Amino acid sequence: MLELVDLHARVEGKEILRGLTLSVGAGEVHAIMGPNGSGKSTLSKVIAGHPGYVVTGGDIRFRGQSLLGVAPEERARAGIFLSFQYPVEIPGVTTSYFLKAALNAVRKARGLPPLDAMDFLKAAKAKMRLVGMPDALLHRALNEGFSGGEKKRNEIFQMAMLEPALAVLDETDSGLDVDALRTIAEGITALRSPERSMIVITHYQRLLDHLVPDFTHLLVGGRIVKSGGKELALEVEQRGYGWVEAELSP
Amino acid sequence: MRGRDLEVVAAWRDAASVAGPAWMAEPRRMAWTALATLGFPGPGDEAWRFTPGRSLSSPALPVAGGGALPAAARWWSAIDADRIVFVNGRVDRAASTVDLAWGARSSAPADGAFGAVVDAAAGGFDALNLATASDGVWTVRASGSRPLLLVHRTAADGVLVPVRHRIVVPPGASAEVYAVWEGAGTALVSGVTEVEVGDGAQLRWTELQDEPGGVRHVHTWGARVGRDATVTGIFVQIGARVARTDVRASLGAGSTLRLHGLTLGRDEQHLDVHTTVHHDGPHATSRQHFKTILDGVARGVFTGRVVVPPGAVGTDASQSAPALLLSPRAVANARPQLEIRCDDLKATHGAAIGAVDPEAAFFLQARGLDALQARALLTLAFAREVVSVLPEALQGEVEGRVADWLGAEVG
Repeated sequence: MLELVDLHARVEGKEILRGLTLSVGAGEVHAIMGPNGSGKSTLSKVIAGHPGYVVTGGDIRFRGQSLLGVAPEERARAGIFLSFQYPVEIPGVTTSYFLKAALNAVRKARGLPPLDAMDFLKAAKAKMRLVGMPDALLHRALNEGFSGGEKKRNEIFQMAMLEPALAVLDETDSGLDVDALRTIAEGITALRSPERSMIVITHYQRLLDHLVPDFTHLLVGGRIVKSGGKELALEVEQRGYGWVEAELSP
Repeated sequence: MRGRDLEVVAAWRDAASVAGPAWMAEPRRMAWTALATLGFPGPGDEAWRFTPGRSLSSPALPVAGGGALPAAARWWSAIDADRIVFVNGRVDRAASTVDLAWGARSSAPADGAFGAVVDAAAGGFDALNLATASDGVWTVRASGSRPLLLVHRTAADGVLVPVRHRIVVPPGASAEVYAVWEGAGTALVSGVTEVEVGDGAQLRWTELQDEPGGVRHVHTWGARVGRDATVTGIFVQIGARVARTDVRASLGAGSTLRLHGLTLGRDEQHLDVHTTVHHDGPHATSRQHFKTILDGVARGVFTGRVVVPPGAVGTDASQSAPALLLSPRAVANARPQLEIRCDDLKATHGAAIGAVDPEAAFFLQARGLDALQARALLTLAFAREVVSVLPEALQGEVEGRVADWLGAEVG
């Protein structure tokens, strides 16, 4: 599904990713953990195609095709979804207006007819239940005045609507209380399928209690330095990141 | 005044003198005298710093004759309001539903006079308007009056189209007025609206200026706001090649003025809004929020002058004028001018000028919208704050025009 090959990337002139290699198969859930500044958010932005993040070496291949030079909207239409760590607030545009436009753009690219307002609403209501998002939020300005939890629910709700083949979840657990974390993690778990891969980027292990990964990778200094199963996440939780860094130093 | 300016005024007097009703003869004579004294705004006139007065004052033009409304383009006929239609500055009775025009009145109305709110001696274009206007509404909106719709339709080339209104809202009454400016052709449209709002009265004025691209448009809207009265003015301007809207208000004790504006400019349009708010009485509140969106090589100008004299304690004045530039060659000028001679007050202003937020655009693109859709959506979002305060009768229409302007689909 996704191949990152010796990926190097810069932001604001500073090299953040330094030879990151990762292979994500169909239906797999990969957790990526790492200390602050290790390149976790950069990785998510690079996969989604943020223009401020420049790939200086290596390749990103999605379903066998290189994504280098492909616009963010083309990646989204091809089936890549990024759940933002800090979803933007857009006063003046409702979630329903924006999402209907986005969904129909994605559907068009997949050769599907556009949804009309009624069909959209029906589909939206079903998916909102998945993340415990109140219907009223659909008709409010996008993320404006939403709590941290509401914003993250909205992100996962949008993911459910857009039905991506690859979802990159950037610190979806940050800023959530215990109950919201559980609901959202259950929502994400319900979206797992043999056709859908996920990259779950997180600083903490707690999300992974609910959303059990097939693989865990430690990202340090812009590279994957250690990979394992779900037990690696537990190890990080208990021992912190210091031991990895110590293990790496000669 | 310099010789060249005198010549310009003389040329206007030759070209644009009109007879009109006898009771207007004296006001007109005074207006021509005022114009000869004042001249038109020149390059050194601070209030016209970004809009050359000469782009509007020359050449001198004859005054348009009236006309009849074409059957097409009556989108506003669905608006639930008493309606008066002016074609080339003259009332079109067949298209109107009420008779409130003053052009055919044989004697001067007894309840006031032109110039009481917008003095002809206040500026050259105000004087020219009084000297040449032959029609407009003159109305007292008593309690229980229906909303009033003023349609100004221009369909002429190379002429001056003047219109002058006087609207009185008696103490305690409440009134709603919609004004639409539209049409075809290349006229110079000159409007003056004088509004008197009595003590404790309320008025909401909503204006949509969507003149064709060859028109030059000058409108002074002046309001005298009584004690504890509330006035809301909403000014949407999309059209005209050059437009200058002056909004002036004097506020009585405890009164409230809310001004909202939305300006959309593209190509080589030059759209200027100039507000002057006098906090004459104590404890008055003024809120000004003018938004500007510019594309192409358009220029948008906002000047917001707030005058607070020594006795105006408890004044609360705020002003914001953000502008969104969709093209690197568009220019926005925003100038707050606070003249405060009183210590006990609250006054704020702000004017952020910038492009579409790239992080917000990336967010939308990462969900599947292309770059143009993302930009249109963010621009629509910027405009909606003003669109949302429009009265229901005009909201859908204005929103549709904003979306058309952006090439966006409204959902």
